[in-house]
Amino acid sequence: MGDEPQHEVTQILHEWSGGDPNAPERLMPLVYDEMRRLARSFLARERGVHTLQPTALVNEAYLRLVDQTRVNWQNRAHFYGIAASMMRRVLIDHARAHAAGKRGGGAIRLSIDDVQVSLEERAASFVALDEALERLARFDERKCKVVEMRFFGGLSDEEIAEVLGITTRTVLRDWKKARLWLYRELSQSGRVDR
Amino acid sequence: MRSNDWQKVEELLDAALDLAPDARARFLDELSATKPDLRREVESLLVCEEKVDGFLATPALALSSDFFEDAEAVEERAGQTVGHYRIIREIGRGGMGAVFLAERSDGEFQQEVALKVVRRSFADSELARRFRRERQILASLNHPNIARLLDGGVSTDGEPYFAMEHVEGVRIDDYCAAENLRTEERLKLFLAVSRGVAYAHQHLVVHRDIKPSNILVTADGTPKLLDFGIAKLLDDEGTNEHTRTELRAFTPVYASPEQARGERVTTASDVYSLGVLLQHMLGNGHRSETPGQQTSVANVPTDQEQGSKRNRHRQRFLSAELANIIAMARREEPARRYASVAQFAEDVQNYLDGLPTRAQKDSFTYRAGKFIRRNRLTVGAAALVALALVVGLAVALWQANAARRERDRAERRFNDVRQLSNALLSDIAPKIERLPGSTDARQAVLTQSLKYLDSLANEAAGDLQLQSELASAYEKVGDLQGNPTNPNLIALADALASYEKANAMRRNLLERNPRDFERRRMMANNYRALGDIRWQTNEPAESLNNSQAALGLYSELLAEHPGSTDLRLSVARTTLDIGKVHSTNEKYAEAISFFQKVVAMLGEQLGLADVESLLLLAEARKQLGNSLSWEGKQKEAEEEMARAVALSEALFAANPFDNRMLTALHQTYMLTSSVYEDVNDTLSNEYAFKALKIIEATVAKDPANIRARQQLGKTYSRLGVTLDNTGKPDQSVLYLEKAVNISRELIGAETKNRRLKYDLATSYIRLGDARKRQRNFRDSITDLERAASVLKELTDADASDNASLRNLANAIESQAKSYEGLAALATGAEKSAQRQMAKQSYQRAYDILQQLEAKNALSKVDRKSMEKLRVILEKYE
Repeated sequence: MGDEPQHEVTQILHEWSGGDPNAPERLMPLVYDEMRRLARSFLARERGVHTLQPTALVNEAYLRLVDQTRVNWQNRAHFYGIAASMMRRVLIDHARAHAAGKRGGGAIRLSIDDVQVSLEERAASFVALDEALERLARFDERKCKVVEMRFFGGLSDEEIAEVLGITTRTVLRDWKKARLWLYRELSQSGRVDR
Repeated sequence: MRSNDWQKVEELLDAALDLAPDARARFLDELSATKPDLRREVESLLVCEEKVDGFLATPALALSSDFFEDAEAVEERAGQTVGHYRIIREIGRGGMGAVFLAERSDGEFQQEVALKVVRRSFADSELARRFRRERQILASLNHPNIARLLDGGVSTDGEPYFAMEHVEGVRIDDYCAAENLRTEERLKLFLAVSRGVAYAHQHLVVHRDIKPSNILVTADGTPKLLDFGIAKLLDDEGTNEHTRTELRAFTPVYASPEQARGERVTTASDVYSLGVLLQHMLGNGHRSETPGQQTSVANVPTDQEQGSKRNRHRQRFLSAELANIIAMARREEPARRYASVAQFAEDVQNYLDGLPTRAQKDSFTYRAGKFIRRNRLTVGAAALVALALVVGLAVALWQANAARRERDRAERRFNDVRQLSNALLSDIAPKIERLPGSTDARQAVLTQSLKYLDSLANEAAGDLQLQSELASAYEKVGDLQGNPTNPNLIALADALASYEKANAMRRNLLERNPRDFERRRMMANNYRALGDIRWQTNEPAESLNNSQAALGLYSELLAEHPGSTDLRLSVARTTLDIGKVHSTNEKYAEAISFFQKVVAMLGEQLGLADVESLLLLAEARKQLGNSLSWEGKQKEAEEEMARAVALSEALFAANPFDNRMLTALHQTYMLTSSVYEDVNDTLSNEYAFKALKIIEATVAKDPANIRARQQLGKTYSRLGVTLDNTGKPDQSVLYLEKAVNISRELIGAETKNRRLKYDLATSYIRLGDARKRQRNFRDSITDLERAASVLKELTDADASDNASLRNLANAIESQAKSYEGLAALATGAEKSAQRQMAKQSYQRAYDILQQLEAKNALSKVDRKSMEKLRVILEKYE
């Protein structure tokens, strides 16, 4: 990887701060590619290791894609938000490939955290979570972002607070309420989705 | 749900969450009265509270690794091209990526390879560069027990790949089980693996991932190690050190504790992994007890035993000795394991041969304590100062060890070596080097230092800065071991080994940047020292090669920097070295021309304060005088010697505490005595006694200084000659016997030192000559026989050693004369038998001189001897 994407990403971040509304759209494919490559290579090495810190991926992407000498905290916050969001998209895209056979087949269990269940079921629950998040975002986008950054991006509460410009206390409360909502949503998903 | 509805729900939810359970129930009841819809909504969320604890607590990525793996497995890669290779089919899949059977795609020649494609996307230009660099090192590993690396690089898709020799075989543990090998057979198989690892270690490559799946046994029973050095290559990649430590991959059971903790990986780590391997092989050789998956650092077992019940059962029957060997390889602290794979293998071999093994209890404190106790007894007061410095160094290293965990790994390595070589180069060495009585302390410094350097050297492949620092450190160690220009321990074989290690690194450095001034200069210094040491060990041909390489580089540099005094001095010094080799080789005319060059160079521009140049000039003059004398130019020789004596005495007077001046003066007296031999024997004898006085004082100050003892022996030997020549054969024999004793004692300590043996032979010849004058012909013949046998050994081992060949002729000729002496005392058959012996000996001596003549290596003196021998032999006819 040469300097070009780094230059480009840094430039887009500047334009974003300057008020360009199309900046996130242009940033996404670049970050998506990077997150996908990073996830693949890390996972290839870390097969089955559950101590993995996802935040390392976001940090790594940041170091690789952004010229740190040319950005401020706001650019950094934007980047972290996008990176977590792209991480989510990468994982869900891969989950979708495995979950195809399980779609619409009765109630989806809350098997996200359960490594005992089959790959297909776990993949399906990831897809279900993603869809629930989409619904959540329709009326509370900030909570969706908090989940994205914490669960998919692995960011700390303090980092999330900084990215979203809210207090850590608010992040914690959002996290709690979002989880309550998502849990209820997923445990009922068979019904609600119909 | 609309946003404003949710806002209301959220407000109520916030309020309820802050309440205690009973207050919460009242809150909900009040709510149901006014807003039943909202109550249902809020309550349905609140009931989830107790279930939500672990929900989404694990980061997504940790739960989804198999999404990726399977996605990749689906990808069909047959027919794809990676680098110069076309994939035929997949043959394996591991933590690092997939392995394919592939063939060369450029069709130049048919070659099937195992192509390892690493699944990752860090391929930047730096990685590509490192790959190119490292693969040269890895590809140079050529050993029957190592699968050869053929190629490697980064594909157009940015995937690193390696092409390796395709080994058809089975995993070593499966092989052991399938063949139902006996313990001895398993040990032998393990020894073959060790040979491969030890070989790689000698080439500064550490495997880092030794485990059964990386060792295949071919149909003919040869084990082959796969993936040598590749783990390090991949581990070193990436720019973010922090990330790297967090996301390290290893095989937990086989990884050493320091490796599992992300600390420095050295040859000691391979020793550990081999220990686990051996244990596993001796278990039952089934792979079941080898956890296939990787676990987190916290779960890594360290010294504890692994294995299934069957495994443990079998191990109960392992001898305690084998268990000890494995335990020693698997010690928690790297320093307490076997110092090398070779040592480990040696112990396994010892076990097989029924010999005692090294594996035994020891500990750092135990050794340190013993070290200090032992040294306190033998080291003089002055050396205790030095010893304190050694202990200081040990403490510094100890502290560095403790601080290690916090620091960045790369930086740490540099700090280690810097601390060591700085302490060694600028702190300890100069303080004790010139300090009389410091031999034991120096030995102690060396032992400690080498241990450290060797472990660092294993890390140095590809790290140029580290290689350069290590080369300097090895050279310093080499100087202390035996560079003849400094006070040293005359552990010449060790010095040679240290300098050769540095030489390999320096050549590698120079190859990367052939025009670099500093690298050329350091390379030249290295070659010069090698030449010097080899002159000292009497390997003239090799010595000459090394010195000429040095001179070539120095001359080139001087031409570029004509004003440099240092370079001028270096050229002069190396020219002198070459002259000395010619002189030793009896090529005096050539020697003289080199010495004259030195005198001319130095004579031009010397200031009297320039001690180094003056020392060199004194040396050149006395060598010139000596060679002139051998060439028959006695008058010129004596003039040069007179100048050398005056200069050496002046230097000593000005620097009385510098051991080098003492050494130089001693050598000047010795050579002067030699130049006056047979010309003015009284003067020759006087100079020999002057030399004796100096060297006796030196030895008295530092009895453990081997070099001084060697010089004392040579001085006794010289006195044997001068006393004999001045008509005192009885005294002569006494001194010569002393000389022989010292030589034998020194050879006992250093059996490979050719120069010591040469000295011994010289003393035996002189003893034989002196006894002849005492008319003790039988003992004379015995001594000369001993001389001949030592010299024969030397000339057999090194055909270019003309000096020894010439002395062999002298010894045999002298023997002939002793037989004649016996013949003169005998009558009848006895008389003719002795005459026959004499004749045969004369003939042998003549034949040897003819050999020298054929090699164009006859001096004028030799020619005279040859002429005399011819006349004698004619008389016998």
